Amino acid sequence: MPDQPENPTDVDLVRLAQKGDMRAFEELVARHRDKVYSRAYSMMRNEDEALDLSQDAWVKGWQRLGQFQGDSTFVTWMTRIVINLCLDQLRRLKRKRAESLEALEEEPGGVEAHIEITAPNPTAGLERAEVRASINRALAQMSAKHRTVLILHEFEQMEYKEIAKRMQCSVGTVMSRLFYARRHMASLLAGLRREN
Amino acid sequence: MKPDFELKLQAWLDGELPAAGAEQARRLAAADPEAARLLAELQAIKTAFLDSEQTVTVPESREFYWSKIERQIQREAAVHPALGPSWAERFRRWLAPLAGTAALAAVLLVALNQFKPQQTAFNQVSGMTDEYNPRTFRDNPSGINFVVFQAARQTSAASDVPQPARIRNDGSSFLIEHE
Repeated sequence: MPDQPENPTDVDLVRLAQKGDMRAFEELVARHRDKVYSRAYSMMRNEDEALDLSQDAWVKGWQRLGQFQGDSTFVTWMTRIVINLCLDQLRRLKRKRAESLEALEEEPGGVEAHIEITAPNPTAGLERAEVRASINRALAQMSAKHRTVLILHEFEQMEYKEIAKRMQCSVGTVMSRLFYARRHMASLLAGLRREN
Repeated sequence: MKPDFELKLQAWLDGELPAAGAEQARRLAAADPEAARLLAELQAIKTAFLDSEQTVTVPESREFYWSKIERQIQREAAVHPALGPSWAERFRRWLAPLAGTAALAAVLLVALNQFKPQQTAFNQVSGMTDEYNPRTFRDNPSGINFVVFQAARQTSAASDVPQPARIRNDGSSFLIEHE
């Protein structure tokens, strides 16, 4: 990278990559590959799929670099690309699933609607690392729809309207899914806490 | 508690309610212990998520991971050459060879023009009228044209023998003008 500054920022590297500098892009990949892979893994819960989708995201990122205007950080922009790819993949998987299973999952409220509020704070007394591990384990036990809506709202800080757009559903459906995802999460965390 | 109210409480917690709706939700939550407990649970989950994302490390080396991405980029670029980092870059890629070709053509045109025979003498001859009585001779071995002309008013016998007054050489022909 002949024009590269000594300690290039992401902005410097993006500018070089936009001119076709692949080594600058490789550096961006090296810096943010864990973050992009983590997002894919959190949504898919499958190592191989997360690897494939994160790599696809980087290829798409390269191809669309000209569209990156710097309105967000580069890593946020890349994360949105991998989220879209994961949502596409989840939709493909959904089409393959049996209708009966799908209908069960779509039932409004499901089991969570009737959960009693036994402990208003299911993570009380837990260390930060324990909370993180518990949330990770609980997310793994949730349906893809509930997991996705939680990730988009809590980790990506998306508003209802944006989640609805990305998940191709109504705002009402987002509110409903988020509510039951939170209630399910509360019961899972309470269960994990009891186990510990 | 009605499901609609549960969702409204959540929307209030997430800052998605307008001011009027937020005030209504606050009043209802304050008046209903069950709503207050639900609100506390939702708030606890929301708080638990803060800074709780686990970063998972890519289970491949930097080089191997990148090599797969690079190969895929090259593969797709071969199939769809238009795909690339930017429109400007794409434009530059197309424009550069075009500009080079145009520059080469311009240089060739100028060079050819340098070696092109000047047509001035022939133009002058072709523009002359019969009164100058032009006669053309060609020396094939040397490839040179000789154009001899004479003013028609010269009628004496001595004037039958042309007396060159000026000779102009344009590279491929001599123009001999007589008074």
